Amino acid sequence: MSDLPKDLIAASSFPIILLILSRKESYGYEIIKDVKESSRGKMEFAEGTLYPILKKMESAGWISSRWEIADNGRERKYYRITAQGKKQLGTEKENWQSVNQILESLWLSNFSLTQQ
Amino acid sequence: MAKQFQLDAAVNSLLHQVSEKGTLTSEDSRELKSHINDSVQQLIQKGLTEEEAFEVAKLRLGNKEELAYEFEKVNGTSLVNKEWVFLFIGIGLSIIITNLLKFLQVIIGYMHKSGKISSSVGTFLVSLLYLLLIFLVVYIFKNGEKLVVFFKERFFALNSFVIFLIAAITGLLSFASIEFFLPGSIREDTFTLLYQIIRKNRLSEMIILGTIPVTMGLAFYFSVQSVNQKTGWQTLFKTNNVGHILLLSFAVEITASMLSRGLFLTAWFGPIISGTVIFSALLAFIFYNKNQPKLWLKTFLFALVPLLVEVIESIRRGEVNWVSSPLFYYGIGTIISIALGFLIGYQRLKRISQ
Repeated sequence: MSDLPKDLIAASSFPIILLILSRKESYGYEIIKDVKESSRGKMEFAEGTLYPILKKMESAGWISSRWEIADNGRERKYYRITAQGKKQLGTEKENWQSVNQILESLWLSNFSLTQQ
Repeated sequence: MAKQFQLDAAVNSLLHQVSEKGTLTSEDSRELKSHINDSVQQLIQKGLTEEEAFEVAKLRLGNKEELAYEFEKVNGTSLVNKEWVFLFIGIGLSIIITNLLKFLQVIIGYMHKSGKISSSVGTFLVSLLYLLLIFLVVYIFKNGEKLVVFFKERFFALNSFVIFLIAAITGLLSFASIEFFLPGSIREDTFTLLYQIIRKNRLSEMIILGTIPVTMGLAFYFSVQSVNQKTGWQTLFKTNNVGHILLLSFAVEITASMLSRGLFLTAWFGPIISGTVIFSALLAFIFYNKNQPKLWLKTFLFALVPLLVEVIESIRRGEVNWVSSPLFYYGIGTIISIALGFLIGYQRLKRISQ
């Protein structure tokens, strides 16, 4: 059970973030925590790199953000999914499902080979 | 000699190191700062000390170069656009404001000439105008971040050509000076009158002269603050940016000349006041930068503008007697401060390399 390779993490970051934000409004630190928890620690990445990704997604119009000041006086930037983001999530879902299907059908036909 | 760990300072310095590579917007630093604070808080709850928590949070944040590079991919073009577009807009805006000021001054001068207002009312109005200008500057800088975001998102998200066009039109329009529309005689009369109104009252002269250094000081203060949030006034003197250092020294130079002209009647007292202001600003600058390497280089930069101004001024006056030249006194002050800066900076460098 090794950590996922960097390329794969990068490729899957959009749908993962969109999924997290479709459940509730959230901020960077919490998103990272959610990703780590739901991947059971297999998704390890430099935390800071999440923010440029969020920025990219915001400029694509999939998410929107606002600053909020917590009771302890600290500020956080909250993100929420937009209607466009929900549409994008649908597309991402279809894409990943078809990749999944392709891989699975290929694996099935190769099953006997790998067992030898 | 263990130094007390300062979390806020450590976070600021880390973010400063990343933002120095020029790819972070101030909002990005703000967000990263909030992230680091959350991360540190969580780790402290798990039993780490503040310093350990910061080190772990730093590691988790990732490599500085990588982070700067990732942000560059997102911010690259917008940062470049922002810089030169704001240069244009800034020039345009300053010319528009100058024009507006001139227009109001002409009205005041004209009203004084035709006997509608007395010269003291005129002096008051002109001073008031300049004070209002300072408030306007404060407002623009205070809300600078919002304005930048507004332009970037609504405007400059377009394409480079459109941006260039907008900037060029603003620049061209603002170059149409009010003076072109005034008949020569009125222009000369009102400006001579205004000059008399202003020069008659030392307080008003100081206010009017003071607008420039105050504006520059504010520009500098707010731009440093936007990178390094929640910092005190000492940030005014603490910087790595060459442009900031030169701007600051220019502001100090003008402040010095403003005070020496506005406050003191005897001519020989002026250069002493100038020297005191410049020299104490230099000392403050050295003091607040003493922990940074290459201090002597920065101190030299800080001294450069006042030095150039004095050189130009001395040449302009055609000073023959070099002992009476302000340059002479200024030179002594500069040499002492550079030597002091070099010594402190050198000690610091020696300590780092050990």
